[in-house]
Amino acid sequence: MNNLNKLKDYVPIGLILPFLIILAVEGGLIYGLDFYKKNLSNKITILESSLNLKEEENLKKLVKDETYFVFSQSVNIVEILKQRKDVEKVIERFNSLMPKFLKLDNFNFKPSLNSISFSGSVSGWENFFKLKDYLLRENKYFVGKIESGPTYNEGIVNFSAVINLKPDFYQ
Amino acid sequence: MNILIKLLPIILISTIFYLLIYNVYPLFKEIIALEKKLNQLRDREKEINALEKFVNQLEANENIKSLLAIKDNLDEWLPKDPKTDHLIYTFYNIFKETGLGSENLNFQVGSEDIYFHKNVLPVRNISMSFNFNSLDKAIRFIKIIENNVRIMSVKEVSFSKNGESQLVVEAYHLSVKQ
Repeated sequence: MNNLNKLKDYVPIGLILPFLIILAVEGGLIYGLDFYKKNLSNKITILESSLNLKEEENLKKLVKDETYFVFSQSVNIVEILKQRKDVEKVIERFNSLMPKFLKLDNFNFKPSLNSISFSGSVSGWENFFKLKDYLLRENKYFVGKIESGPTYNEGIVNFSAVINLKPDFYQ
Repeated sequence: MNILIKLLPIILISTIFYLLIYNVYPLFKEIIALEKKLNQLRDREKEINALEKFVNQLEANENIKSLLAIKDNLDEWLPKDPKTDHLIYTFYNIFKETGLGSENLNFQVGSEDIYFHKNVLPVRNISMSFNFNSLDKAIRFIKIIENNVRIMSVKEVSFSKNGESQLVVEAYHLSVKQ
């Protein structure tokens, strides 16, 4: 008792006690969080394995399910056909939209990207700027930009460009 | 002893912050990540249950049942297997009957599932490339394959001013893991 009183004289209990309480709370929090984390991990492992199993069983069942199989075939066929683009129409539309003075060197159409990239040439800078303005101008068929070039050689301006097609282009 | 007692508040504050930074905060972060994962799994569970419900409804639907009557046609349009030998035979016949010839014919059977719709089985592609010496031939070829029994679609068309044209065409088959 005497020793404790001595210690009280040395140690400022009033100052230390709040820190000790915070430490105790912190310890409790760490223990609680760790317990919750382990619980959560367990839950996840169990749920994940049960879902994997269920998914596998379902897939096995579904593959054997003729109705689902033919339904999948039908839906996929419809979706593939819906995404198809009429290439001939695209080329015709491209020809009708591009100015006559453009001489095409290469043409590439990627239906999945809805884009046409092409390289070509025009005679003189005036025609090049006309074409550039035309490609960049807001319109309902495409959004265009010059990708590389221009390079000038003996009155001919070479360049490559790309146009991203809008739905109206295919109409 | 006296110095230690004077330093005691500092030691305690340091310990509190050390525990906060190196124990409590990482634990919180781990728990948030685990909660996120659990939510994702719950969403997956809902999707699986919805699919089960959907299939049950499908089985009861008379219109869908009627698709079974054209099962053979569907198998021709979108088979279960790649059936590349059938494709080669198809192109051989097209080239023979129309006089259209491609200098190259490359096949590449895809290994990735393509989902056109989340509630149905995925498909896989068979990518093929063809070269023609004129654009007209390429266009004629496209028209023929678009009317072909096996569903195919054009993925890329290129041509140059000398008329050389290249086509990338895809055929599909249902991806079924047995």
